Amino acid sequence: MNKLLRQTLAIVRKDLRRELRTREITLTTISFSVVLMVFLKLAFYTRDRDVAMIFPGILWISITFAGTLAVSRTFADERETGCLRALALIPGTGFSLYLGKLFTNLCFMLIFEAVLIPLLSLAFKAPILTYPAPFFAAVGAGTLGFTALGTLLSAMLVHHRLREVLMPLLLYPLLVPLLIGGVKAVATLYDPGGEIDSAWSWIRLMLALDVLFLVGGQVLFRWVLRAIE
Amino acid sequence: MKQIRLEQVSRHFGKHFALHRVDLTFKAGSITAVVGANGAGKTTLLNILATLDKPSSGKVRYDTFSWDSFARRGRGLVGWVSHAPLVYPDLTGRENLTFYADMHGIESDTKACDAWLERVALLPAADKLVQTYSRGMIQRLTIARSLLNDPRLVILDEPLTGLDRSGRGDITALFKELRDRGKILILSTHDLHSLAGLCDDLVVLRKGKVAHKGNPTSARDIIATYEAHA
Repeated sequence: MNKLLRQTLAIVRKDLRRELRTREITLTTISFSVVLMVFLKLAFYTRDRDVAMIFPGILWISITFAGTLAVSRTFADERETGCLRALALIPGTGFSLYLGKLFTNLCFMLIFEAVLIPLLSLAFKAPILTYPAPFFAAVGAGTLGFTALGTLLSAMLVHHRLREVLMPLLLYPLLVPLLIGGVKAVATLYDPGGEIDSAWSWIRLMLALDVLFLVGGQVLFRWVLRAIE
Repeated sequence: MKQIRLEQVSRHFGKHFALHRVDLTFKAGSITAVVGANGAGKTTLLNILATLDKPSSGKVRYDTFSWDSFARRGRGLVGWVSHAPLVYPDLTGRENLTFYADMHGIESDTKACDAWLERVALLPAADKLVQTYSRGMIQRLTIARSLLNDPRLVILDEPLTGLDRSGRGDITALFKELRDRGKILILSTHDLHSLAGLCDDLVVLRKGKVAHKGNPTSARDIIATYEAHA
């Protein structure tokens, strides 16, 4: 088997196995998602016809806030055990560690989104299956970009004393273009006068940003790993 | 790898010199003990040799490779035991070794891991979570982890910490076996008694400088050398 693939799979398997035992990330993100949904429902108690205006924003705020909990723990295990230095001594980890952590975070994101999105849909009476393809494409593209950037920043801040504070401060401004695309794409689907083609245009923009974040993340991660090892 | 040579190697942090103009040679098939008081520069020296810390000045040659090229291409030849165990407490001993074996790309990793677990007498506890291990068991697992990739250079920072009498005997025998197979072993310890009959060369560091190089054999000689120079 290709060494990069083998290393990546080893990291994913290790992190998922650990998560299955501790349930630290899935439990906290799902619980937080439920609390957030209740708060947002109370804060934006409104009539059904206003859904188009508020639902896209609520959806992306929820994904971003709950997702931050997941990605900020990306290297927590390596930090607490010191294993980052042992991994840094193994050739090839500059690529595989980023890819492995990215896949693991995507798994965590998809798990809590599988709970969060139906809950939000029910709470705000927002049908998500009217246009399933563009809706899930937008969520998928947003999740990928968010995870690519979050994984890189999590590595950069791994040894920083104020990492929990700095993570959202650095992550959210960089996410603005992606979030605008996500909100616009989903809003178009709920707008009675909106056109599906317009939603796909925003999704294409999000995918372009994903590529930028993924390539940038992969390139920068090697330098980050050298600095934090 | 036949030898590692340090020429005028210094490492400073701001104005503080952790190492100052160190000249040393480590040869294949030898065990060198680096001793000294706290803050003498032992860990800095070991980190530089493991390519985890770059010297501020001076040259480190791994055979014909410079420090930079060895850090890029030779890291897979290093086995490293540090103060921290560098294993995952939420995984079992076997899962930890399998993970590192996969990372190293070792073929038939299950067999290799079981062989190492047996070698460090951890096979009966292989499927228990590391968080249930005693300090000595974790240390044995750490040593197995660091040797999985069959390294040419083995760097050991306090390798016998937490081990009981029989554990020390087993691990000491393992180190001698590695030496006889032509590896370069460099270890640092505060436990001078454990060095008797183990180390071939002794380096005493004092305030970042080499205060003494020699090859004392008995525990009494080692302690006397340490007290005279550290």
